[in-house]
Amino acid sequence: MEENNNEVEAKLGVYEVGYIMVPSIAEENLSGEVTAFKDTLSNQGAIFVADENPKMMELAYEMSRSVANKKQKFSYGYFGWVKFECTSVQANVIKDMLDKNEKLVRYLLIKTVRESTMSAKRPYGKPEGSKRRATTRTEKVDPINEEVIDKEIEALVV
Amino acid sequence: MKQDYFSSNNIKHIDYKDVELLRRFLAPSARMLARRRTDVTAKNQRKLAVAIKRARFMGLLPYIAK
Repeated sequence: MEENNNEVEAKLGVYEVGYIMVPSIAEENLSGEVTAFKDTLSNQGAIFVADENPKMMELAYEMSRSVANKKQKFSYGYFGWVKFECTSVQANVIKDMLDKNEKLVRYLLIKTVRESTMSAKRPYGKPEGSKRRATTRTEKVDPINEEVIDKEIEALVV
Repeated sequence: MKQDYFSSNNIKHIDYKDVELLRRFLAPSARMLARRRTDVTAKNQRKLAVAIKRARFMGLLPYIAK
């Protein structure tokens, strides 16, 4: 029974943390904050699979977070994510650590797969074959006759 | 005839970060569309609902749009 427990604990899973960092961090300090954030994950035994550096974005709605009994509201934040491999026990420890991280507005720890889950951009709607093809119009252009044009202009002026 | 967008495009995992994709299955008011409107399978509709809820939690999508 104990062996089975050890096996379950030792089984590695792929996890992903999506996070929003506080917008008060200056752009030049952001990379330092990200490496510090990643170091805390790797210290717990996380093996990185993929990641995306945080980017400043406008949040879809105002979020609030209370630190030391003070409520802070955020409309912007640096959104980034990191995918890593670890055991379920390590993931729990990481979760507790993220709860205490004051640089994060919000985070989401989920179980995922190793492969990229972002879909390639595809057109939505009718398949390509059903689209109407553009037809090239060929208009017959008569050669410009200067005399005729001059006569028309004179008629208009008079 | 019903055609599942995810099956026909070979999408096995619906990512909550894929906001552009998720928006296709939302009404202008940001409500999720029903299965009879999305035409996706029950299994994929459940996956889609989870992805949309995750995106909302992370502020990538609104809960309601005015």
